[in-house]
Amino acid sequence: MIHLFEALGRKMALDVGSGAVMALDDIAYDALSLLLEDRNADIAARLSEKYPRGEAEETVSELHKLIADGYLDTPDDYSDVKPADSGVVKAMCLHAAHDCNLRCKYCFADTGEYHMHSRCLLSAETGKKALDWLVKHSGNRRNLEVDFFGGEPLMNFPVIREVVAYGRELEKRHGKVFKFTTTTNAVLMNDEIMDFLNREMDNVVISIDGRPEVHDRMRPTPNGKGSYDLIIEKAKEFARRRGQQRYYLRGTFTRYNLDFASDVLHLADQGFEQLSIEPVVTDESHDYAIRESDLPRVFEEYERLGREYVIRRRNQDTWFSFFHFMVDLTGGPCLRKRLTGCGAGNEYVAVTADGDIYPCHQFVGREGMRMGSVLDGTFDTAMQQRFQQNTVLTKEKCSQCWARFYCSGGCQANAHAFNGDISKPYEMECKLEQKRLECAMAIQAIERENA
Amino acid sequence: MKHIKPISQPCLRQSLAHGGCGECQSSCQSACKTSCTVANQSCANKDSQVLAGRDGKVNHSFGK
Repeated sequence: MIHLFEALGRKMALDVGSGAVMALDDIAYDALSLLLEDRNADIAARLSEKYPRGEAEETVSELHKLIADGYLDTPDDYSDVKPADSGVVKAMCLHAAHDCNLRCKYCFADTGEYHMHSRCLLSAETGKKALDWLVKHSGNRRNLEVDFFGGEPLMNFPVIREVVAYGRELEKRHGKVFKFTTTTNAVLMNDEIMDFLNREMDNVVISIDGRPEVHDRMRPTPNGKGSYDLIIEKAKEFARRRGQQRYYLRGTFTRYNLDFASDVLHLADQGFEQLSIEPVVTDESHDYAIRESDLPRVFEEYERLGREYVIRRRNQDTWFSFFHFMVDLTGGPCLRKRLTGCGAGNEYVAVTADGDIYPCHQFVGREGMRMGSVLDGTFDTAMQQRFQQNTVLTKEKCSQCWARFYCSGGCQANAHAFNGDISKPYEMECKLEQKRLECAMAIQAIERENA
Repeated sequence: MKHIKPISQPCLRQSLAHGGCGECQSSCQSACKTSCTVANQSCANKDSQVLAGRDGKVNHSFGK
C-alpha cells in the first residue's frame, strides 16, 4: 500500500509496508497517482501528455529504482508476525488520588470520582501492594513504569513519596528499574515537591490548556475561579529546574478553541519546549465536543501550527517540540510494538485508590471492565488475553488503513466508549491522527530541505 | 534522485530482527493519556538503535 498525500504545501508518499517516506515533486506525484490508478499503465507515455518526455522517463526510472530497492510498493502483510507474549505487565497507572482540587468541565474522570461517587486517596499500603503486584507480573522485564495519576496525585504527596521509596527498595531486591512519572495540574507544586519530582520522576506531565482565557474557561477551581494564574509561574519554574527536559505541558482543546494553534504557540511563547495539546474526546451531547463538521477547521489549524512550527524550530531561542508532530521515521519502535499499540489491558493496567485493576485509566469505573485487585491478587487473564490479541492485524478497519503502523490501532478505551467494542476504533480519532501524521511527515521533509 | 527524495529508509521489516523485547515505554504513559501515537516512542533495545542509526529519543534528533 502507498499513501499519497499533500500537507504543508509538500507532496509526499508513504510506503506502508516498508515505512519509507518520500518527498515528491509534481511529476513524481502524478507518476505515483497513475501507478496507483492502473498498474499496467504506460506511465511515461501518460506523463508525456503533461510534461517533457525526458522528464517523464527520468521520473519513471526513479520510480523503478525505488521499487527495486524496497522503498516503494513493498508487501505490507505482516500477518505472520507474532505479537509479544501475553501475561507480562510492565506499566501501571497508579491512582494516587480519586479527588481533585480543580473542577475541569471536560474531565473524563468526573473531577476525580471516576463516576463512583466517592472521593478518596490511595493508602501507602495499597500503593506498595500495587508495586509488589507489578513486580510479580513483570516476568523478565527490567524497566517498569508507574505513573502517579488522579484526580490530582499531588493531593496525596506523602504517600507518593513513601511508595517511591518502597519502589527503590524493590529495585535492589528484584533487579528492576522503576521509571516513575506523574501527571499533575501543578496547583500544589512547591519547592519541596519540585525537588522531589525532579529527583525521582522520569517524566512529568503538567496539564495546561494554553491561553489564560481558554484555560480558565474549562479548568476552574471548586469555587469557580480560573486556575491559570495559580499554576503558570510554578510550571515555568519547574521546567526551568528540569532543564526543559523530560516533561510535557499537556492541554486539551475543545470546540470552544478550534484555533488551538494559538494555545500551543502561547505556551511556546512562555518558554516551554515540550508541548502536547490534544482534542477533547467526548460525545456530542456536550456543547464543547468536537464534531465531524469541525474537522476541516481542525485540519487547517494543524496546518497552521505546522507552518509556524518549522519556522520556530529553525531558531534555538524559539525551538519547541509538539508531541503529535514527533514521528520517528528512521527507526522508532519495532514492528511488534507497532502491532500491539498502547498495551492497555495487556502489558499496561490502571490501579485505583482502592486497589482495583482496570485495563487503563480511561476504563476505570466502566461496568464489566474490572480485571481484579492488587489487594487479593485476582487478575482476569482471559481479559488480558483479549486485549493482547486486539492488534492492528486483527482489527478489520485498521488492516486497511495506511496509518496502522503509526497509531497502532488507537485508543482502545475510546473504541469501547463510542462503539462498545475494543476492536472498532473511534472514527474521529482516526481522522485526526491521520492528519497529524501527514503534517509530521511533511515537517520532516521541510526540516531536511532546511538542513 | 531528482524527482523523488527519500526522507527515510525502509525500516519496518528490518526491525523484526531485533524487536519485541518489550523494554520500551508504554505509549500512553508518555504525554498523551488519551490517544496513541506509538510511532514517536523510543526503542530501548541498543541493537535496534544501532540498526536504525540512532541514539536516543526522537525529540533529540532534531538538533536541540
